[in-house]
Amino acid sequence: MKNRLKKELVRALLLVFVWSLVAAAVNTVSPRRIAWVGPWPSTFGEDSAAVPPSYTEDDAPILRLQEAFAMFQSPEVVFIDARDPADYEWGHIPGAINFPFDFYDDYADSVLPLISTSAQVVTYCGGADCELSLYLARQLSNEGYEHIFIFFGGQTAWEEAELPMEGDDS
Amino acid sequence: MSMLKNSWLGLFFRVVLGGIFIYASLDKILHPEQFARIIFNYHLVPSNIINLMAIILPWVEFGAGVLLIAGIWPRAAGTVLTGLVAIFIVALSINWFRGVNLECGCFTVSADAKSAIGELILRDVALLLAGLQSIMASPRAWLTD
Repeated sequence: MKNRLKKELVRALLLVFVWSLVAAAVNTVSPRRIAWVGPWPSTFGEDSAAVPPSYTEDDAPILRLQEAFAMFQSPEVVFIDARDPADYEWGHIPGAINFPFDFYDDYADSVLPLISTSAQVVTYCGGADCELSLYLARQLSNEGYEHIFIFFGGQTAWEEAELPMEGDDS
Repeated sequence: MSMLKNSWLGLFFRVVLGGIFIYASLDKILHPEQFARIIFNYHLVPSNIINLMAIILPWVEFGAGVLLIAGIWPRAAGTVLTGLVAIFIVALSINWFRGVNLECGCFTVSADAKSAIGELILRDVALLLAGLQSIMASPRAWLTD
């Protein structure tokens, strides 16, 4: 039984090895080949607080924490929390409206009328690892909103800076 | 237990599991660049091996899927695929816990393909069970082992 197991595991490793060679060979000759090491920012370093890779120059401008906080001081600015209701209820930026991107269609009819398309809008979600704010910003842009900003630092950066919060955990 | 080791059921699971992985590998083999971006978004893999993983993983899925269906080293192939599914479950769970909304990169590298992570994990658990059954099934039905 033990030998049997060992045999299968050796075969499994061999299988992975051989197909890795195939993959390497294909990536050497394929017109779709990619670099062996890509230009990715370090996932574990300080850059991880950066912008999601799917962000493009056509997307809404980005706010740093200080800028987001400055806009937070202005009562005209609408903060929109793109996370799920449970996360929102646990804690959010005071005054922020919950508009969960995952349930966009369910919320659109009740939330969109509350916000003028000429208003300054800041979307945010969990933090730099979260793209809900980006997707919501794109969707709002399609709806005709003209002054959208994305706060990628989101709830995480806000909490870490010990800025005021609203919700169950505040 | 006899269900678990039924060889015809094992054959069925092998074809299903192998087929799913072959299908899943194709889009990733065709678009390694997009697949690398999806791996990056999982935020689990050190940045310097992301591309290497995007190059190799789809071919291992494809190769193990073919061997599993063909009945060549089916247990080894089943072990590889079941191991992959287990890794996917862990990766999805970590990101579920983190609250990250991600493209799973399961069957397509399209950025529009988003599913609830809970459903993805459930689906992977079903695949895991199929994989375990295919490994445990007694090697009678249609094996060249």
